[in-house]
Amino acid sequence: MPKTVRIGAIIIICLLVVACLAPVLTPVNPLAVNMGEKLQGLSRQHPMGTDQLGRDVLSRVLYGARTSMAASFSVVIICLAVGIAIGCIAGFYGGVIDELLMRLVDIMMAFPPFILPIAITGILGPSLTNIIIALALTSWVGYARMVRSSVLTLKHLDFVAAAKAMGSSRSRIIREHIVPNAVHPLVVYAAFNASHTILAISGLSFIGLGAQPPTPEWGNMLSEACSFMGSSPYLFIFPGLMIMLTVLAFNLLGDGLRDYLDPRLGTEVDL
Amino acid sequence: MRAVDGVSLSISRGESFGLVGESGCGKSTLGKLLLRMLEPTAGRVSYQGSDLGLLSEGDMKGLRPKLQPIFQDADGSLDPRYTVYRLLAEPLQIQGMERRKIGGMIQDLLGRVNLGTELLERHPHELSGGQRQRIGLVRALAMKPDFIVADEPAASLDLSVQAQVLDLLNSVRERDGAGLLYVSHNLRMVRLMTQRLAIMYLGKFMETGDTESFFTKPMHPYSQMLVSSLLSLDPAKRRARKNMITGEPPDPSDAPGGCRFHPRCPYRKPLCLHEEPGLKDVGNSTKVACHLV
Repeated sequence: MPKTVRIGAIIIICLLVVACLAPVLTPVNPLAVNMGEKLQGLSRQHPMGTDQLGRDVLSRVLYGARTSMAASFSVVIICLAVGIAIGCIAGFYGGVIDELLMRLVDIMMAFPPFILPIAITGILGPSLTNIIIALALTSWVGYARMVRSSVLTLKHLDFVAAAKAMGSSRSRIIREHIVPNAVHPLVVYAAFNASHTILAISGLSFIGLGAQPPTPEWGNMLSEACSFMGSSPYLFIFPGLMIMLTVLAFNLLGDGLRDYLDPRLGTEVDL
Repeated sequence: MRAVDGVSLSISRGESFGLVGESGCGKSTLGKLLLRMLEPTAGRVSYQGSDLGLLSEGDMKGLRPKLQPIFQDADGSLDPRYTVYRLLAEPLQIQGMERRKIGGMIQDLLGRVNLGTELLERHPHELSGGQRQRIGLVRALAMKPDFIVADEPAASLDLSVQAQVLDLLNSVRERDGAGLLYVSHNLRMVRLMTQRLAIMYLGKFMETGDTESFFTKPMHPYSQMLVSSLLSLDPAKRRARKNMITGEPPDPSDAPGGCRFHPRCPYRKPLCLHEEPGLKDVGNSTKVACHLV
């Protein structure tokens, strides 16, 4: 297994552990305001300092992992479910159904990537849930396209014909032969999509459309830190580093998996 | 384009029928039509008196196990993500076999093609070509088919495995009474494996008849060319080979008018350029599509 996959996976696992165990790792409430201790630099008591409301930055950064991971995993899982279902239906049944679904995909793809989330949060109101919905709405199309094209190739292969000739039902063929083979290339896509989602959520939170204060979220923290950039740079350095680390981890994972799963390199594996 | 046009054949239980032709002549397409793996635009395929074309998808599903294909390329006909165990369990599960019987049945199946149980955890890409082909064969046989379309089942195998595969096919035909359509461009194999045959050229039958009498006395000019292209062991006969096949078969989407074979026929007459000959009964259960016979 390539080193990149291992490094990426280790970082992501660490982040997941941090997200799950945030309350244990830091006993300080990330929402606890203490005006008496505002904008204190790094100290033994507050290893990453405190922000303009005296909240502990370390605990906010750790709880931020929770928000980011939960949100990006939600988007990826929703997209996988919807994309696989739509892609399979379009690819396997073809004809009018395929035509309708693919035109829908074209319509979704015609929107510039940031416009739709902004419009949707404009209608539904800014919140983390709405951002997840908005990002899922724009991202599933890529999954659907990929699955559809895999299914189109797969359904003409002999092993599908053989299964059909044995009297397998359509649903059995899709379940047993098409989906497992079509999902394979999707893993790489999902890794890149996760990193893209982390960035999008931070970006949208930064401009005030995502997680609402006081929820600890990295993009959110960055935007609050803007006013104190000169005096307290640690306020944006730590959340910034976390965003970078997470995105880097997913990109490493995706990149490595792409090489690893490429059958031309002869290291075909079972997932 | 007409890949298969105006052909008619019947195969009875326990009979082996050879389908011979050059690449792209439509022999594989005909095989798929017989199994309803392709829908014909016109024509009828009947199995035990029922017209397969009229059956609903659901009824057809019940019949499919009885009509099995054996693929030329076993590599593509086995799901790359399945292990040998799952590959062999699949046909048994589809037939609704009880879980606890499957293990024993799988050993049985492997034994029929001389493969050991150490293969059970392997994936298709970890098998040799011969092993894959035998797994594919035994998968089809696990369905206990009444009719098998074997499309070049031995083309990619070395001789010892070839003999084994062909023996197994023959025993299934003789013992279980399955009908067999043996599709091949290898005349020698067809002579070994079949009782009757049809020679196909650009989607049409040129000659049909008894296999042995075909090889001793081919009637159609194309058949004569095919038979004379077989290397004879007798040097005198070898020197006498004059009717060698020349040229490539034309593009099937732009088949020549009149007799389809006329551009390559050494005996062509003006009539052959304009009028297409039908299959004529010339006795001895042989039918030939040629103006000159």
